[in-house]
Amino acid sequence: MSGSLIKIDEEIVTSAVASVTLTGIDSTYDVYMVKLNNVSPATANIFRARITKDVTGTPTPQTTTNYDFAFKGFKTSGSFENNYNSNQNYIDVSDSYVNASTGNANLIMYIFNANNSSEYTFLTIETSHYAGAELYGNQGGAVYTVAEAHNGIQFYFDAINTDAGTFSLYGLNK
Amino acid sequence: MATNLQFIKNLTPTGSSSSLSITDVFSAQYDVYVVTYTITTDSGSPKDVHLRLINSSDTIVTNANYDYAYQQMNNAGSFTETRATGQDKITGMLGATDFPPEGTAGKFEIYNPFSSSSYTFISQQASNRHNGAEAGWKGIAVLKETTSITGLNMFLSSTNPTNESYINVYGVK
Repeated sequence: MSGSLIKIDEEIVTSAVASVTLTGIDSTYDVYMVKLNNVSPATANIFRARITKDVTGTPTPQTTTNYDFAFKGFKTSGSFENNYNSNQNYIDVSDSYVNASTGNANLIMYIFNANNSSEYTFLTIETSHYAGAELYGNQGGAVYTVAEAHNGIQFYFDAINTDAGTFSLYGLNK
Repeated sequence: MATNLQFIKNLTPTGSSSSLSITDVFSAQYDVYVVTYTITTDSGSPKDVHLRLINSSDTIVTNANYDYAYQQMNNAGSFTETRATGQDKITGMLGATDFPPEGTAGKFEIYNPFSSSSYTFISQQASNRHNGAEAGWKGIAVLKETTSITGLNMFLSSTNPTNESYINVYGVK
């Protein structure tokens, strides 16, 4: 029996890029999974995401102020953090700065109902990376509160290039 | 052998019942399962989505043997811990739902459900929006019975999940 975790898109970054966009979300699946491995910025910075929609054939990151998110920030020094915000034009995936080269951000994200124009797009997010001298990770969720059909997701570091990482998008077949 | 998910069964409600049961999905074939879900409701009033398990006689387990603990992370800033032991259901852990396009969406893993010698454990994560507010959810639960579990039941206290809702069950190979 074939598996139900279907790889749709993958981008392997080995030299500096401003952002990485994974596309291929459509009505085929209800749920998509994103896997990020060993993602590092040029210099330490915050890691962010935006969902994309098709605009005249081009996957276009959505920058309206309709992203809400809330995460518990786990860390190896100090108290765990409550990270949250509303009506932003991005999702703060990492909150804390991801180190360059040794930062190696890793993530598992599930995306629900992204292509359903009757529903908001919901996301669950789990991360781990190095921030300064400590291990850091977020556990929580996000939502993009525009009921429209989306086709992908873009990841980027705030004003800094991404130097390395493997970005993969899967559909959960049913 | 490569690891992968194997689709087992899905359920889309008709919108006429507050209770969604998906049966005959857990077996000796897998030890671990992943369940993905979206629940929207036909009422604008937010409703907690509850979870119970179904035994091999297709009976919903209502014994007071469920323990759970979860964190609700509200985007307005209040983070709430909920914990309970000896309950007859896993109360509200799957998120609070609302009229579409709001609702709750998430996934959980179920460990050892079919085994008649181990407890059934659950780890869960969700994102929801109701009454204009978003929250992330992270939880764990257990059914403290060595009952062979073959299905699950999600339910609302009164209103009905709409046909925008779904439950998908996968085995982890």
